[in-house]
Amino acid sequence: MKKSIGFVALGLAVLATAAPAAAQLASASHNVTITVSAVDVISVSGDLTIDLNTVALSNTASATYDLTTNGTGRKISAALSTDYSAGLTLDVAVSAPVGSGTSVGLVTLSPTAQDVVTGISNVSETGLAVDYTATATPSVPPGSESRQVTYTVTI
Amino acid sequence: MTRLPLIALAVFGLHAVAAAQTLAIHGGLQIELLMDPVYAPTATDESARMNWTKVSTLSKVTVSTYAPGQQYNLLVEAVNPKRATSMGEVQLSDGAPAMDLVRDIQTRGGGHADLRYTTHVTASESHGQDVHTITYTLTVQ
Repeated sequence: MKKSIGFVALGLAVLATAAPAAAQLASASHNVTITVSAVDVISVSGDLTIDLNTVALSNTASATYDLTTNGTGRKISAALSTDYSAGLTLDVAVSAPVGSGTSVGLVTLSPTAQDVVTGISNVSETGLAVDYTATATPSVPPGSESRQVTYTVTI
Repeated sequence: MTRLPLIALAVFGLHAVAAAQTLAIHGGLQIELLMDPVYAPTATDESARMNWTKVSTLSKVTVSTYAPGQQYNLLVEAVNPKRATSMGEVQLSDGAPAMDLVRDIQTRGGGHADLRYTTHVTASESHGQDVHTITYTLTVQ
């Protein structure tokens, strides 16, 4: 009787050991790495012309910009290629993306880069407003002046 | 009394046959998917192939990943399977239980499938890097 009990116990122990091996037959591993590069892209819509005259010494025009960044703590600065003649100024107000950032508000453009939007992180939006206001004093002689405004995304 | 060694040998004998089945990955041992969220938001790699030797019973392959701090999605699909059925694209998520990648592995002989990895990032997802250690397991179905 004692032999019979011992036999049953041993049989169960062996089966319990064999069961996991039968369910999992083999395995293999390898590595896959995903690298996402840092991207900061800004583009601004086409050229604008603002007409001023003795009736309207100040006038406005609007453009748009597209922005994509997958970084954090970004800001946009704006700079004029060279100053306008004395008495002529160009101001800009750049809207912040809806999802991130804060607009500085109206900024008078100069060759020195100035922040126009700050605190931008991880955003991709298009058609954001850029509103210009040109102003002339009455002493400005008739003529035409063209300047380039450069927008830069920085940390 | 004399039957005891015979039964024990029989059980261990079956165990040895099961352990002889192998699963191996060839090529693509270090796959790198380089992403640019604006100009190349989707990346695909199909350089790795999974091979298995003849199985003794209907089997399947499951897949799981270890990727602490995973940021980006990653899909894997077994394509062009031989003597098996692909279960289509499987999402690889760190900590998720192993999911079936290939089922109905037949007992007629060894088989294989190419491994197609796909990832997609949106423009606003942060830059960075995920490292996945992906494990394929051949099991009884």
